[in-house]
Amino acid sequence: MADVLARGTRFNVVRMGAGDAVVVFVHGLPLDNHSSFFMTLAPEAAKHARVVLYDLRGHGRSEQPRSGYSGADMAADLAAIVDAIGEDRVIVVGHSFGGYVALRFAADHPDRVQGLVLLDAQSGVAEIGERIAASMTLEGEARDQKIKELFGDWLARHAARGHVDLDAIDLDDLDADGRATAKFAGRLTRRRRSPMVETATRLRDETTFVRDIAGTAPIDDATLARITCPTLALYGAISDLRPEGERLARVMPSCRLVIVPDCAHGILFHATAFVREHVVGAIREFTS
Amino acid sequence: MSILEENKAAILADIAAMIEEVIGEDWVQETPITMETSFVADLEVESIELVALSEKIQARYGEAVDFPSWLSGMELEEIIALTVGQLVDYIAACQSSR
Repeated sequence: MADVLARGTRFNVVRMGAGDAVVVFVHGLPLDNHSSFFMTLAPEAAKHARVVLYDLRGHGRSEQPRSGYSGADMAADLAAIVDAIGEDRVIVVGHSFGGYVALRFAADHPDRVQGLVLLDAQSGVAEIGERIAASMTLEGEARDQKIKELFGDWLARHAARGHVDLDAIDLDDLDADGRATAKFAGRLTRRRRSPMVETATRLRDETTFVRDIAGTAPIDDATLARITCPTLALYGAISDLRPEGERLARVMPSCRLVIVPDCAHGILFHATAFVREHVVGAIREFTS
Repeated sequence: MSILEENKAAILADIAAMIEEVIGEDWVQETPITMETSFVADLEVESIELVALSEKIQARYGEAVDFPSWLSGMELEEIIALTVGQLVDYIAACQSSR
């Protein structure tokens, strides 16, 4: 691990592999970090390209400044990190909200993006910011229920990969009311403090994260239409975000949509091999 | 003890010390680390802690042990079921095939 200073903030940046092309991976919010890629896509991608993993501001082992958490800020962070490590053009792989960051970066810096891979990415159709912010500001019983839903799923399915995403709950893990089943809720008793949950809690309570995310503007069709780099979009067949993938394929000039069978939002974890094969294929295609 | 068993015992001691550095001494004292210890069920590790462990493994054993590739080749269920013993066996196998 190495620290990179960008826009006055210290970022945890992990570099792997060798090759001419550079692939930067951008993770999701708010209970996520670079390790989701480390454990899934990065080692294979590193056989074909130089791989850069980093923790978004406030996440993982990056610094947690008090402010600067809008999608535009995170895209500016990405540009500054790419500058700081001395790279010119990069392929960006974004997962969930990381996909928003990737799209915003590509829209703002078209000359610096060799290609995009979007993994069940948010682009803003369904008030992304407000949804994430609302989940993080719930109080009392509503909050406890949400935590149960999220962490029930997390402990049962994602513990080893440290991943929770707001839409990552599998339908078969839920009862008829959409709540985590007793089997999952029963696993909520965690004995050790969770570094990831503590990081996210501080993010919510001690920074402007919630307000900044809520104020993050969707990426409109006109902006998407200007992103002309080759783009691969992978979306879960039963993901809430599938319509966003269909919009990207419709509006972006060079976007190919691939549907991941039987998957909801958590395609990176539930269809790892499928996703890995397509991501590596895209890296080879973009660099040939 | 055979040479292989001695080697595995030494690797286990190394790995246990690395895990202790990564997740904290207090916790490890409550949960003695054996070949049967599960990373998820017993130690409640998070993936970012496995990245930290991976760095320590590479620093200790070098390029011969490619922990990230080994890990990323597993399905989610396999990672959830992963034990310290499986990691020790993997490292021993990497060393013996050199």
